[in-house]
Amino acid sequence: MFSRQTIIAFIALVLLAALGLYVGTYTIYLLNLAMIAVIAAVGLNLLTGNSGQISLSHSSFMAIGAYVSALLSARYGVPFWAAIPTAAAVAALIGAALGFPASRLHGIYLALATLGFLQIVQIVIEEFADITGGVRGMRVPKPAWFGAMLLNEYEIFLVVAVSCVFAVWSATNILASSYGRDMNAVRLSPHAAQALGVAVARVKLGAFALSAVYAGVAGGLLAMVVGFIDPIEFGVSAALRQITYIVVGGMGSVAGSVIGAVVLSGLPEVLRPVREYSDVIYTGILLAFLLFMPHGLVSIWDAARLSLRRALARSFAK
Amino acid sequence: MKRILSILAGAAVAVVPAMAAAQQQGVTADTIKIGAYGPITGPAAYIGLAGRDGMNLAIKEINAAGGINGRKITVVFEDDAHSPTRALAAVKKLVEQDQVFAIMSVAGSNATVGTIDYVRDKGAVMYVSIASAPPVTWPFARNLFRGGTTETARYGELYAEYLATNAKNKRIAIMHGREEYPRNEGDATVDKLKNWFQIDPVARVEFNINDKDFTSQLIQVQKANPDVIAFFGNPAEAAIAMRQARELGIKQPFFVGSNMVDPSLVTAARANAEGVTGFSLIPFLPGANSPEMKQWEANWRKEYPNAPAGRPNNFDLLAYGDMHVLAEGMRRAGKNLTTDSLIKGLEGIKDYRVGPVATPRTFSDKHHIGNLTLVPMQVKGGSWEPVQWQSKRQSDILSRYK
Repeated sequence: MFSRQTIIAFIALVLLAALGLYVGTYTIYLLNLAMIAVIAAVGLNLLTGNSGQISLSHSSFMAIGAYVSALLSARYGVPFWAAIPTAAAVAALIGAALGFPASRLHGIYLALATLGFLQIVQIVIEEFADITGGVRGMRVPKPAWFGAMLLNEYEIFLVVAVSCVFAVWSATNILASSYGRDMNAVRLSPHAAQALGVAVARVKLGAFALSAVYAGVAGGLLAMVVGFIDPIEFGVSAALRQITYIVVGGMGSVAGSVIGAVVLSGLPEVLRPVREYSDVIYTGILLAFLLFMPHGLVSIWDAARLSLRRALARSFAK
Repeated sequence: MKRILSILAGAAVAVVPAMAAAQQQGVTADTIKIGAYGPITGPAAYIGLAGRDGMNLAIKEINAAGGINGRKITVVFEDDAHSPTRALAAVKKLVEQDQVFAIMSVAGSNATVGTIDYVRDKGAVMYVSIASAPPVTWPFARNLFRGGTTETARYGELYAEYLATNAKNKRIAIMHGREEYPRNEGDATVDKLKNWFQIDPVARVEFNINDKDFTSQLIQVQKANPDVIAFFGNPAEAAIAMRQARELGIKQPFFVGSNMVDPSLVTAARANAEGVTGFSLIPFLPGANSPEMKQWEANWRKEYPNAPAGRPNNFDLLAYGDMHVLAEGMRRAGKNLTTDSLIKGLEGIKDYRVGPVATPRTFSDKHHIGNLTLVPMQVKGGSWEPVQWQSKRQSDILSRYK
């Protein structure tokens, strides 16, 4: 009746909801940040890991999601459940607009084009300071169900958890669909894909729009959770950080996106005790992952799953 | 029976305050645990590392002198990497996991503002040493205090008055960075020039952080023929702009924002810095010839013998002075140290400073802006020297707190 993915998603959600009841708000905040990183990474992996398009502007779509939802809430009192989907839709439209010229580019040229888009978004945020708060940033009102009915910390956590689980579930299903296979075909060989009847340009454009939706939702949730946004939070460092999530986690893999985002977004908190040396150690760990696990952290998971299957097969054979 | 009741009542009177003290988070019979945060990694680490070291030096002195009413101060410091998101994580950890009594911010403006709503809700005292962002002190919050740096609007008042009284033909050009701090300085200065002195800048140009070429901005400034060029950015940018200005034949003097009134500007700009003016948040800069500063620097170097070049800097001094102010507030709070008694202790501080190396701090129950004093300085003979100049105008800053 329900697919395996749906059952796993439901169990994950129940476990997360239960976990939220037993931890303090500091841990809840860290879990929120990790889940938001997962949503962004899953979206970027669809674009880069599956459809093969390098993007250095994923953080800009997060910025669009964050600022649109924050402005809708702050200026027009729109509740979060309407503001965040609207922000994601705006991000998708802009993503599709970027996808048009980007679908003609690849490799380093596409990276540069998306980097240019990131700079444009940064300049727009900084220059329209009357609306966005510019470089001084913008405080985001506390999220509300309706009017003055505000969400508490646990309710915010549940919203982020539902969004995260839905993001992972939907990405898994997209990859299992014909469109997901088209994306992988475009990455492996655009010419072969075209010869087989895949509309390469349309697939690329769709991937841009789709990844922008995930980034937009992640941005809207980040604004809600932190309560303050500024352009630096969505700059080139954030874009590069998101790329490391999927590279270290495992390119083209939803599980890899989840593992990479959770491990790397949590690592700075784990490294707090080493204080000013944390950057050096973080970079060292990152290099170690890249050198010794070129297929990403997900390869550990895959290897473990394979061993388990073999062990089970052997035990049944006996 | 009456006697038993009176003994019980007496015991209750004695026990209740002791219980209250015992229940106060972060305060034990012999320690006060405070939390602090600032950037010790990333591009703004020069702020947080200096803030942390200056604060720790003060804590060492306070504890060596017997602590606060018999209690020694311990500190938990967390990195915010100059990010509001990380700053909020740091403060949540300090309050909920480390259970600190009060928080000291040696962070930048945006990182500090990112924590404000949470700290307001929690009610713990947060003493902000370095961030100048307006939301720290307005709207007024009983548990938020600003120490060493002053209000952005106060910079504007003093800069505008100094520029207007010293520019012969009232022709002032403004160059400022696009980041938060220099833009705030530029806006506040333009606002006061217009409203107090009816002066519009003859040119106003912007640049980006880490820019290496200011030729186009300087040509615009040159065309406007100003008496003085007010430059708000970072020392590295100012040094390049000053060299390029001289190369373009621009001879007008430079006035710089308070964050650039620092030995690093003289080191970077060398001869081009000669004659540059600006306002300092501290009476003496590290490297000054005053005996008090030399003694303070000797103490600092004894504590940090392997410090990198350029240290101690202004942020060491600001955090050092502010840690002493926070300690003075705790001292005035008395033996029964609670958040409420600390707030009252701090609000009782009038013109307090730990020594000649710090500017005085004053708080009241109406406002928590500790410092409205800045010292005008000029580069003479390769070092920053105080300039004889007094502000003649009443500040507008406190009028909204009545």
